[in-house]
Amino acid sequence: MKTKNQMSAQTFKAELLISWVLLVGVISCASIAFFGILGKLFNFGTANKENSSDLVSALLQGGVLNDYHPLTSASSVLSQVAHLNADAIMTGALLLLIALPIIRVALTTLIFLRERDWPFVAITLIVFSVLISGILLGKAL
Amino acid sequence: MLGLGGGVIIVPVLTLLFGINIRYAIGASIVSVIATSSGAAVAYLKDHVTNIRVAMLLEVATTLGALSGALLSAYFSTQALFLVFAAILLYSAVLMIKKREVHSLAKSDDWLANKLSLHSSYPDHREGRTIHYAVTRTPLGLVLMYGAGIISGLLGVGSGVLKVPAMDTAMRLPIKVSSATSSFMIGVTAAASAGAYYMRGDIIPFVAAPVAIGVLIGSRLGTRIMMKMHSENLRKIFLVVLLLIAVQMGLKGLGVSFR
Repeated sequence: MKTKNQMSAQTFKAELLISWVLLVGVISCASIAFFGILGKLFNFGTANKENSSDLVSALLQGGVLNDYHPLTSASSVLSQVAHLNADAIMTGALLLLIALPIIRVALTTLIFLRERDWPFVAITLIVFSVLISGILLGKAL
Repeated sequence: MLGLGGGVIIVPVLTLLFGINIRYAIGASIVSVIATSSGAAVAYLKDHVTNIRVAMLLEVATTLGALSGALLSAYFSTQALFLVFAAILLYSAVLMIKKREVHSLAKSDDWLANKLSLHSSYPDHREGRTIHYAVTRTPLGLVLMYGAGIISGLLGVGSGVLKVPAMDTAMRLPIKVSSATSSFMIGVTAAASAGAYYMRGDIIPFVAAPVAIGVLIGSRLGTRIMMKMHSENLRKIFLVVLLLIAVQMGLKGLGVSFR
């Protein structure tokens, strides 16, 4: 019994490719983040706001970091990374990691589009817009 | 190792063992969930077990739920978060104890499932044949997924522990398909709330990055260890650990502290 859900070989290959990209993405992010962590530990790089050991002791006491503000624009992240700011390197890696599922949903939309599977094009677009609004809403808070 | 996103372990370990503020623990956990889900996608998809259509459809519900949860968490006090967490852990423990006897269906008259061609099949290597299954009670699945999404957004867990039962008990998907599909979904669900958490400053790079790396390495080791253990011992150990953590989290929520 061949149902419509049996992915065509093409589609399966495309989804598999996306999954491999995700795996590579995760490993890359982890590696980049690792260097960022090392950098932070040794307080390497310009414009590091605070000493890493102070930060660690503040965190271990369950405190709230009042002067931590996340970098909210792509340009600020990129420029800080260029300055080898360890915080920015870690942040960049994490942002890329968060983006991976979003990219995957977008690519899946294209796959359904090519299959002319309109209900699922709509479904994946809805999921995509919820993901994007999550970021926008967070910014507004 | 046990089919969970790890969020249920990360938040308790960070808060109970390291004393880190629960909001940062949740932020770090969300990031790890994305990492493990994205990293594992290939393995399940390769074996033709993941049902992408079911996943995408249910993700409409989970992502909306995750967003709701992330926004709601601003209104929950730290203690309330601990208590809700403890409740979820207890619920997971109960689910682990109950054995589920579900047989997948050959046909279904679920209007939505039929309309969207959700039914599929997968090759079961142990049984040596391809198993066809039909999906049912999709609307119920969507509602349960919205709930699972809220928990995910609120507590920073992948809520695979809630998604798998929703799929296999409510929607009658075979357990292997439920696990694979759930693993596929949790990354997207986590990404939905991660955006909000990041903007709020709850994701501290120096916490989230090491935790994510640790979890990635840990899950690789976990699968290797799991191969060598008896499943019954595994379940017992996990149950005990789960209950201990649940009690600790509950006590912390009620204001009792051991520090």
